[in-house]
Amino acid sequence: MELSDLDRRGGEWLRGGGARHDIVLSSRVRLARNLAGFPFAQRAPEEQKAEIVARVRGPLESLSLGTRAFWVDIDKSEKVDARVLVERHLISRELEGGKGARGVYFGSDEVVSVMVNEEDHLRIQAIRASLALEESFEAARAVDEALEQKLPYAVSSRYGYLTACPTNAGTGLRASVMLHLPALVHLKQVDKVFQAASRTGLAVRGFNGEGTPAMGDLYQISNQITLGKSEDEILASLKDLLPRLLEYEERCRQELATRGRVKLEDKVHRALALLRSARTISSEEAMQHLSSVRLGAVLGLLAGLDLQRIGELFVLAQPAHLQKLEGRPLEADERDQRRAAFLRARLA
Amino acid sequence: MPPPLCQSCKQNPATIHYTEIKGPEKVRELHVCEACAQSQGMTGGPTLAALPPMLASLVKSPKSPGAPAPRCPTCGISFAEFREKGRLGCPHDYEFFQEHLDPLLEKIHGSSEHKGRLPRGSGPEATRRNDGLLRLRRELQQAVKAEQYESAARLRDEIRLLETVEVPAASGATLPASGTPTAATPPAKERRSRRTGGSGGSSGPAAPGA
Repeated sequence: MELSDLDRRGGEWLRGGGARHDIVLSSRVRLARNLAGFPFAQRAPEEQKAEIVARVRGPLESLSLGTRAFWVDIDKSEKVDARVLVERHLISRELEGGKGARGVYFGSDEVVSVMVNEEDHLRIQAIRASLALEESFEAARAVDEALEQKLPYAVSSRYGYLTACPTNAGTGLRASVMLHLPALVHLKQVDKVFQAASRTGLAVRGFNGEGTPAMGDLYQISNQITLGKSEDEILASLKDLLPRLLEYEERCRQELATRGRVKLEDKVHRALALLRSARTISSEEAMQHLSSVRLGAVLGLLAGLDLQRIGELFVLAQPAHLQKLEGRPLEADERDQRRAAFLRARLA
Repeated sequence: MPPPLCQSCKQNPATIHYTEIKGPEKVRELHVCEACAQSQGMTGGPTLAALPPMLASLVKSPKSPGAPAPRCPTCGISFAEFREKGRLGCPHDYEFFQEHLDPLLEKIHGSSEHKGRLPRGSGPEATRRNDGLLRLRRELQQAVKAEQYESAARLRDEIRLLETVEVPAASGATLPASGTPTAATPPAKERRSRRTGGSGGSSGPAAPGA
């Protein structure tokens, strides 16, 4: 696979505007499924993992996922290619670091991706820009329904879809939204969000998913409960909390824009100036300043800056993407220099 | 507490604990010392004829106090192993470890019963067939490891045959996402499945290409 095969600009979810794109970057849904009659992937011997891949390839390739679709054997991929897919949120770190036969199938618009032999045999994911949980769910469900015509799933009437980890059993549904919460972070209110989320059975994670720090003030909020609630109820639990959350961030943004106007403008312009002139910059630092620039663009403080282009940079300035652009492996120091040059060019 | 005595020589402490599971209610245990196990070649008695890998794993953990934990007959995982790794071994574990899993599911989800859509083939018949497949695949894996190619070939045939068995869809199996599952599928506490043989219990015509 070559980066040139993928869209140079990043997946559709990074670009598209839409409902509440001022705060909501993306909406993602994933369904965990396993084939009946096989042990779960981590317990399956290598021959069976290979057999599972062989069995699902046909049904996957008969899906219509846009103009072009890709199958990538992660076990046979270059490390940097697998990492590019992680950075684009097409596969998880678990799939990247897993063992044996495994892969991913995705469409060129990068809306739908199906991981094979991650923790579960199938992880069907759909990710869309801005607030679009329903659309993401429908996209994932359409794939699920097409696959279940051809692949017998491991299910029980009592426990629903059976998954390797009991935390996913039942619907196997994890719905999440990626939120940009710079004002809540700045005003040190973000802990309240965590508390409100956990009270309603939702979990908060960093930009790159489980166990990752919240870089660039980006947070993922997702359901924890998958069993004992219907799919609609699970989606509703997220949708119910969101308006209050968005309103809270908005109020904090207003407060920053009125009471701390000069400070805010200073922060935003400094961030942009820094990104436009740095000669070396780490991933974390870049994300932090991109976050401020994004906030400035949303609040209309930075005329002429396209919000969608800033969104892409969160992904394109990450290590594996830079190495692909450069066409060779880069040491950390070199990478920071390349990142700075890349950002200067993009934000010029 | 001193370790139990070997059931064979009744002199040495039993360090090898063997459990034979013929179903959830039928568990037979055998505790022997290493000398007796060796003198019997661990294959002498009819009860020890099967499952050498399982014995090997038992030899490795002689410290387990008292009765060894039951292992899922289709994937070989024990509940302790699940606790350690956080991942189950196969779909049958949900049934086999039900009494341990239900409280855990309650803790995680506040419920241990599914409410949501289900695809076709989710009835007890399908479950039995799938558990049979799991078991056959495990036996196949062991046969290949032991280089018993004839039984491996036979097991492959059995798997192929069992896979072509069309399982009748459970009534109301496919529920709409917004459906109320209570009427269509009462939370039937399926009885644990018996061992499904490779060929028996088939019904209906062969499925069109799996």
